[in-house]
Amino acid sequence: MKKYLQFFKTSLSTSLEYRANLVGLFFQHILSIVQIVILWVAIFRTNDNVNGFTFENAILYFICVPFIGIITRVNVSDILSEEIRLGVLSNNLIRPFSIWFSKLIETITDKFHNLITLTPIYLVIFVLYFLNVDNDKITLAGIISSLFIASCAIFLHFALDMAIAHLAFWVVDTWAFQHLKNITFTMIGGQNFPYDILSRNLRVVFEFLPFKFFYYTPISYLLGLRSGIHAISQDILQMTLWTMFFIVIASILWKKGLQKYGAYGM
Amino acid sequence: MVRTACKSITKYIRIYWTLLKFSFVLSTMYRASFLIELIVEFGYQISFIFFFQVLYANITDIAGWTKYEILFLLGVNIFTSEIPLGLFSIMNLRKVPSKIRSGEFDFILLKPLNSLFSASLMRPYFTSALSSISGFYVMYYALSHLSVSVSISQIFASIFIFLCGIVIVYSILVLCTSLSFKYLNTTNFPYIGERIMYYKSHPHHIYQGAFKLLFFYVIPTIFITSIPASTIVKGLEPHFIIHSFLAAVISLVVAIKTWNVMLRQYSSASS
Repeated sequence: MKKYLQFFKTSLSTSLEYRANLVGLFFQHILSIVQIVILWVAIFRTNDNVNGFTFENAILYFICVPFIGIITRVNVSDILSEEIRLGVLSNNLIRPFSIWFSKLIETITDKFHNLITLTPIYLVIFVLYFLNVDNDKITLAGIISSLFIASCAIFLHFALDMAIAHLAFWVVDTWAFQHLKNITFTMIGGQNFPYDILSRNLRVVFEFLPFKFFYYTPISYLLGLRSGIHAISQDILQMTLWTMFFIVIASILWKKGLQKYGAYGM
Repeated sequence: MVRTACKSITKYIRIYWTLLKFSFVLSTMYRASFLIELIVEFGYQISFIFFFQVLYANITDIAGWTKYEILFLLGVNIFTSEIPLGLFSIMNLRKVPSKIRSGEFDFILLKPLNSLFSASLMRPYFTSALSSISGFYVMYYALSHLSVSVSISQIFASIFIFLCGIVIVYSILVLCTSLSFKYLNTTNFPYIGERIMYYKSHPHHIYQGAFKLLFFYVIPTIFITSIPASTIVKGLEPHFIIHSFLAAVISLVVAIKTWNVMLRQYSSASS
């Protein structure tokens, strides 16, 4: 375990090297929140609700999207696929640590770093929201459930991202798959809109897929749209099954990939 | 002086034409990769259209814009997103921060070309140009469902305002990227510029109060998408022609001056 603790410290130092990037990240978050809030304010100027989704919930939903994204987003496929492509993976293969676990530690470090820096800013945003908007559906249980589901979603996303990263054994660049992942999250992850405004048939399909756990499900617990031990158990079970599915895929790709890996560097 | 300026402009146009041809060859060299890039670009477009389809399944208008008017706006937005990103950002301005940090920017300064031209226009991303064509189909589809008659003056005004909008967006991207010369430990200033650019995606009527002041006068991104679209589907408002021209000139002058001032902060990373 000591070696992974060292990993954590090294990753944290590396992420602190470019502190100004956090300022840029903060501005990107603010800009995206303001953009979407302006749009939904305009929508609710002429509509009382959108398929039952109220103005208060809409604003809070889209403020939460980037924050939940900080928790659930994983970008290990960027780094690992580059290591495979450039042949740098060879150095890590001979070292006495698990590559999977080291990448997981790096992911958690990245989150830790972003969260401790951006959380105070989001706290200010949430305080401003609650001072101006009356929303009595937010409860402590909802907040805890939301954060719990979002934390579990990290592992699901990690497994999915590892599967994408391992495609680098066969394709020169995996950036297209990363972008397709982003597009999927935008369309069916709840990043662009909540499931509540979907038609019934479409919602059934979307609810079956795992992408809801990255944005929609954690936020719906926060908004009080989803609650209770039964709902949490169901979601944990579904997430576990999907995580195991992606771990199996990633493992198969990893084993087969290593067999053909030549460390040519491209 | 005029003759020198004309010669200079002709030189840069010839160079840019060569760069476009080179970029075309580079992009299409690996056909599979080119196709995948196109699929990704179309994927983003589809996700955007899908969002508004879902929205309009539940509402009838946004700030007075009906479903097909918004769809026309989306078609314009596809075109106006792909072109600036492809021409200025993806292979050019996005790479400036890393080039500054590594010292590779020296190679840009060593060229007998204007540094802003080299940094922002050297490598057009050809795939964006091709994927922007789908925007025309979306516009055509939307117009076929709208009972509007479009005059030649509306078309020309729309194109003129759009071109002014391109200059404004270019200026915003350059302004944001210029900050990389001063703040070396950051890589995301070009992305902040792109994020500001996203404000062009919505109808300008949604901006009210302080935001109206901001997006009409300070960061006038409305002139690249919403105003050209509105000129076609809602009618020509002549004052926007003058407004867009002035905004383009002012923003370009400010961007170029800022770039030159910030460039003085650059010190090579050496070997």
